[in-house]
Amino acid sequence: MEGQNKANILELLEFILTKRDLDIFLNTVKKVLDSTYSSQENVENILNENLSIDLSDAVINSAQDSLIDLKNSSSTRQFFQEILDTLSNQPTVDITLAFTPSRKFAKKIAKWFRKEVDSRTLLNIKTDEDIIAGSIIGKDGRITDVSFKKLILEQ
Amino acid sequence: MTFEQILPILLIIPILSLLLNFILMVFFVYILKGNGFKTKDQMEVENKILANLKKSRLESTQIVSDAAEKAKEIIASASKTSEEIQSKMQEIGNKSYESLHKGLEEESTSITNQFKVNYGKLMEEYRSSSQKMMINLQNAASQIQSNLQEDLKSQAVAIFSQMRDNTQKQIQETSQEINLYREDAFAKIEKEAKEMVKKSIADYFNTQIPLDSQEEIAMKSLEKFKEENKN
Repeated sequence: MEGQNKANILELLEFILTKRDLDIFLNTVKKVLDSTYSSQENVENILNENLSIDLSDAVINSAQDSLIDLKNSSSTRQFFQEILDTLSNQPTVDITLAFTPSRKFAKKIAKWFRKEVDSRTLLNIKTDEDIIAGSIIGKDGRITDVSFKKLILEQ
Repeated sequence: MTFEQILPILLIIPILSLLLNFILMVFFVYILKGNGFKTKDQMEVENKILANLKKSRLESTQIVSDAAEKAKEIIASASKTSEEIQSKMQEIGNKSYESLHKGLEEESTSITNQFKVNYGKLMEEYRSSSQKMMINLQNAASQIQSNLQEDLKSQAVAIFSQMRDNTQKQIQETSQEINLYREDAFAKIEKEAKEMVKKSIADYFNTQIPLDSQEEIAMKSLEKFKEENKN
């Protein structure tokens, strides 16, 4: 049952592509956890107010798949604490681009990384026009510079 | 016998003589009135009485004169005695003075000798103290000189150390300034180079790199990253 819960939680990463997405999501999870102690706020309201509709629905569906009653403070607290523990230490790739990517292109890159490198990789996207074009990628403390800037300087 | 002891006796003698004459005269008067002589006889008697009175007066005068003489003699004798006494006293005094003087001289000599001895000791102590003091002074001076040299040495070391630190600090600050200037200069050069590259690329493509080209190049760079990280 616990393994199934974890699998359901990891499925949420389909909607969490970047490090920034994860930070927003984990802050929302903490708010939910706080609300379980006060019983003042509805959990679904907190999720809808702070997350995208897709992600909010995914969390509610995940809770239902894990047979969690979100009106029960104790089980809700246990479920969201598991989300927090599972997603807090996800692998991250730093990628520097010469332009500000659209959400669509960011999703495309993230999917590429999840397919080619690691299925749970989160992107930490930065922008630096000076690299002209291409990218600089940092993973596990190693930097790979495949930018035009480097190419030109090496020429 | 002293003059003071003789003097009362000398005074009493004339008085006693006058008293005896008076008694004798009363006696004759009494005899004459009590016996009832005849005028001739009475005259004779009176003459005799007068003669006796005169005689008695002369005798008493003589006695007084003798007594006075005697008193003078005694006084003279007493004076002589007094002079002798004074002379004796003078002699005794002289002897006492000489004795005293002699004693004083001896005492003075003794004191002088004692003084010499004490003075010698004092001088010796003073000499010894002076020598000790001089030795102590020399030691103190030597110590002060040594301390002064040490102080000067440590001060000199401190000054040189401070100078060295200051110099190092100045070198460091100058080095930092040079580095800042170099970084600033390099940053300017790099910026100019980038602008030149951008311009060259823009000239090459006749425009700036379009977004779709950027995305395509980015995806190509991911493939390149994958190739480089295969091993």
